[in-house]
Amino acid sequence: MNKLAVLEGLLFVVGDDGITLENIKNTLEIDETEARRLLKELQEEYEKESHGIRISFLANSFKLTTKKEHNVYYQKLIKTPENNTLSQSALEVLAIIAYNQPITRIKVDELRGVSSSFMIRKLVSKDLIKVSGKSDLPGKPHLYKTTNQFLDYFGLASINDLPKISLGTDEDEEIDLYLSNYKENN
Amino acid sequence: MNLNINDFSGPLDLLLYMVKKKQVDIYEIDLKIVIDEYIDFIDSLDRNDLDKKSEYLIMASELIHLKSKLLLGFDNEEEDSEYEINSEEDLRNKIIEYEKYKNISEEFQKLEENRQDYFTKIPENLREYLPDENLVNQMEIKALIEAFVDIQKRIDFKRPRTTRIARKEISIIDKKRYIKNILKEKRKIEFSHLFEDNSKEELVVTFLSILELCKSNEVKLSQAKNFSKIYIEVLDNE
Repeated sequence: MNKLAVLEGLLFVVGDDGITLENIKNTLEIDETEARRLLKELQEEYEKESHGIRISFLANSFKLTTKKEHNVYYQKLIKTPENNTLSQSALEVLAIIAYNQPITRIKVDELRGVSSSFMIRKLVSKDLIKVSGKSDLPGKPHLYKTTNQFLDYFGLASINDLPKISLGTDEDEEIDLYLSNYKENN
Repeated sequence: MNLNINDFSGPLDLLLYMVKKKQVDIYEIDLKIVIDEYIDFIDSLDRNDLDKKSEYLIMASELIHLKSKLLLGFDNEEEDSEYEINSEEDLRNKIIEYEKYKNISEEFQKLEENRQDYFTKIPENLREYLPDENLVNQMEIKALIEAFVDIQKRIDFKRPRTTRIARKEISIIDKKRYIKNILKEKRKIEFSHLFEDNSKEELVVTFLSILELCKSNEVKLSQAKNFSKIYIEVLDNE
């Protein structure tokens, strides 16, 4: 049997659930090298201009998606062209959670200087974040983290692909030092 | 200054805007001026728009607290735990920290936009390949029948039963005969014995029967004194 054809079928069947490399290996009973070779071969085939779909690696799994450049045609299918995007506040909350997870709601509030409970509830219901446990702080508040859906929503292959941001505490200390020097010089 | 509260995602966003407007490094900005501007802005808001306004009031109180501290010349030696911002440095750090997330959220917006340009599909339904499907089906049908029989039983059980409640009619004639029979044997009994364990209706009938028996001189009632026991006795006057 042509394993390449089976792999193509597999990708079709799993849809937006996607399939992990591990799962491909187990299903096709092949080793990792073979699995990667098949994926690459299929990928190259799809990348040709005569194909409308491609293999994307999102949220740690392989998925068939349409091609970005064909976007205009798909949008004609949708009756309301206005795209449904997240608000600035929602993006801020998501960004804070993404870089500090797991994190309590109070901490998010502190960083934004405004209450985020409504926004957090909204993001949980959109499956972009979820409760990952409870903090040891008084009252045992929920800890939140981002989901696989979050990664897919932003087209990220894994959490390591988050846009780089300088958040290190080292830098904060540098600022403090700078400020105190500044004061002394006055 | 003509600012609309809806343009900002929160108090820090507003502060960041006010700082940035000065177009100099945040470290060179006189925060006292920013604080004044912020408080002016809060004052300019519609008094009735409490929902929006209240989000900005906590920060306003933090800023007023900080400003009064600065005016009075208190240094930041003693930290007031009730306030998050105890020095200009705290405020600066808070704004800088916030700016990082605000900037990165713009990145996320681009990513979001990008990802919305291509599509995937929902997974195929593979349930028909589940190995135990048939077995499950048979079991389910059996369980279904059992459940139905169960329900039938329960309905039967719950259905109101048609029963007839016969009202026992007690006639005075019967009662008179009954009393006379007792007296024939015992000759004289306590009046109250005739009224034991009886329904209200029966009590009335018994009482009426005794009165009738008295009237026809068939029995005699006697009482030694007030509130003592009453006795009823048969009279043989036939």
